[in-house]
Amino acid sequence: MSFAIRAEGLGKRYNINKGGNAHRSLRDLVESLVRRRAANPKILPDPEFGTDVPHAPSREFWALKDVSFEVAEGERVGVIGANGAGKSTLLKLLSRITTPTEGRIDIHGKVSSLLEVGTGFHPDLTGRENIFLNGAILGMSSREIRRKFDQIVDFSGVEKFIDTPVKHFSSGMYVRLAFAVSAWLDPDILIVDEVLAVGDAAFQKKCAARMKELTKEGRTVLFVSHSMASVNQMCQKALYLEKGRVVAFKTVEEATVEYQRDVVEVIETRPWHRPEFSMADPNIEIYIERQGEAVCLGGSIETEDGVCTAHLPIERPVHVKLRYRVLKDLPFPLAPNFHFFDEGGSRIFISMPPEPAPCAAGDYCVTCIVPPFELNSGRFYVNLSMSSFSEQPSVHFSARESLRFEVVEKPGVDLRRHGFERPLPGVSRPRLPWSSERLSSDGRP
Amino acid sequence: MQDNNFTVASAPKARQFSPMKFFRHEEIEVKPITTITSRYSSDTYWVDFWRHRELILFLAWRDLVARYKQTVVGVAWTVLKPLASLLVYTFIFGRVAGLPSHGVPYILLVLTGLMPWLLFSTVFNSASESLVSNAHLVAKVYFPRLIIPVSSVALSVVDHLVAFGLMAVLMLWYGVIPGWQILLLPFVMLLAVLAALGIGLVVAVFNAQFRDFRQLIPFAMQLGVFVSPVGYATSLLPEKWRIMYAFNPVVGIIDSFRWCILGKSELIYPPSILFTLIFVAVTMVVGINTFRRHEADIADVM
Repeated sequence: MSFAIRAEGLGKRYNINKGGNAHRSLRDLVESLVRRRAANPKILPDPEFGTDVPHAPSREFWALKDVSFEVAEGERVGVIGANGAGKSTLLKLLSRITTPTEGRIDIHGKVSSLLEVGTGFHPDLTGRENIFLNGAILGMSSREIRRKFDQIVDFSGVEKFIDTPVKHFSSGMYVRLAFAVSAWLDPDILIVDEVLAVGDAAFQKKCAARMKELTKEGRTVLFVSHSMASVNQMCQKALYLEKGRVVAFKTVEEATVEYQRDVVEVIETRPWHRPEFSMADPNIEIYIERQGEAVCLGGSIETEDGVCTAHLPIERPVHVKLRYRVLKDLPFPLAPNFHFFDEGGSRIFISMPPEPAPCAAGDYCVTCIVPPFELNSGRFYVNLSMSSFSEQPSVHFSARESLRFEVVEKPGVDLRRHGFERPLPGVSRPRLPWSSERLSSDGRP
Repeated sequence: MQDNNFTVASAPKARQFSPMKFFRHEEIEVKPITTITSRYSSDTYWVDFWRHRELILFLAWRDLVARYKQTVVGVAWTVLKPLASLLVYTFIFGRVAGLPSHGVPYILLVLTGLMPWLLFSTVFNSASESLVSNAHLVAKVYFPRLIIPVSSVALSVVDHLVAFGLMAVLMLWYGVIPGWQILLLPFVMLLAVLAALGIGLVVAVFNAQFRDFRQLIPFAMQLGVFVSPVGYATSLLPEKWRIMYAFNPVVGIIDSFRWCILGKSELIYPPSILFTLIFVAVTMVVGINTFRRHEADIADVM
């Protein structure tokens, strides 16, 4: 298998000057030269401008450092990471907009990069003229553009206005036309910065479909996005960058999960796991519609032995407990409801008890038992809510993402693996009844 | 994706062979290998430049169309500008100062000085501004950056051809019929363009790096009108100064331009033409080298 992109020890350094401005004016230069000569008359002014002088040291900043990876031909790779992780810099290096400070990149094939849509569009030119201009800027030949012209116009859906200057276009029409040109590029390697989020929902769908089409036929794709959903959908592997370094380069599922975990821990500056909480915890977000009747006291995740832990074996039941207080005798029944989410934020299910919860004034604890294997190995979180539906549906409280736990699987505990050793995908692994019977020789039972 | 992971036998997918694909000639083309390092590679630069040659015309065409769509006066503007300068210089140098004109109407003397000067200065101006005014392209797409100043030259030349119409009309009006020397005119114009582009390339890089550098350019251009023989003939200068004067590369260009149109061999001063030739050769080499050395950093500094 040959490679499409190979980066070795890639690094990119930027100099941040005083004031944080990359621009330097001639005045600055003259000033610093004068100062330097005053400080040390023997040093002659350096003929290369942009050279630093001792009195105005510029701070160095490595946007990328020691980045090595190899993308095989036909692979679709997502590039993920927080703002400032170096994603855009990497794209700029790969698309040759700037050169690396160190290291090297070998690229096998023709590259097209889409760092924005409509690069070079001129407001005074008509839609038709802009298609040709933008196409040429993106590296298409005029013959190629002429051949694809009808498809481009058709895709953009602005046929009627194709001979109108684009400054009269609505912003939606503008981006649609702009994306349409990019959508008909035909490179070996496609480098895309999050440009898919343009136009209305219908057009976005069209774009996503076209992107998928583009990425077929062994085309190599590098896709930068903040949306884990689209990275997961589009890519096979993901390159996770943080502060200019590669944190992980593995399958898209593993990398995005790793990234999301880190994000949560960075935001809260505390571990992700939260096996118990009380109302004193300022990190807990409580949603309340109806006050003065029932309040939340706290909650916990426990094993069947009553041990509070955030790491639960897959083969044991999970006890989810909610403690609450009813402030006065209520004339209507209370309905606790627990919402289970997977790590990506998809709601897996909501569970409510078979009987209403007690509603006389006092403190209570309700427990929901999740049977073994009901949740697959992985991370989950729960919203603990209390509602009532008798008068008019309302939420007394809902403690959002208040409990976070992880279901772990030790080798050998799942007897239904039959030798398969890798992680089993999915949010649930319910123990469903199966049956089998022998067929007679004529194929009937 | 999920299903892929789940496949127990995860044998590498066999490369699909499709006969249709095989016969499309684009697919047979060998994929180029590009190596990107900190040092600027030179071996593929001109190949790249050639591959992007259409872009030169597209960018020039964009500027042209955009300009004529924007201005109300439209094409007339390219004639009006030189016409206004022509009348003012003729009045000041010919009437007020009463300088000698070698027996041709003074307005023609000015015209034949103004034309090459305008060519030189517009090419220089647009080449030196080109990087800054196309900063958004530089930041978002790769192509050999040399395309940008070169395409700006194309636009200036087209502009200049319009002004040529003005010249033709005036010459007919005064009954001047140029001799065989006019055949050398394209060569003289090429010299003017190359000289301007050579300096323009260096200044373009400066402009991109230092925001305040461009403020010097209009001043230099204004000065240029007077230190170059735009509004007067070179023969006006005392003999001992002429050799010094020849070190202005525009002198050789304007002198030859005048000679091509008006004849008058006394307008020609060989040292200045020789210097212009050397100047053009040196500036082109220096200009392209400077530009190439800095073009990789341009996206970072703008």
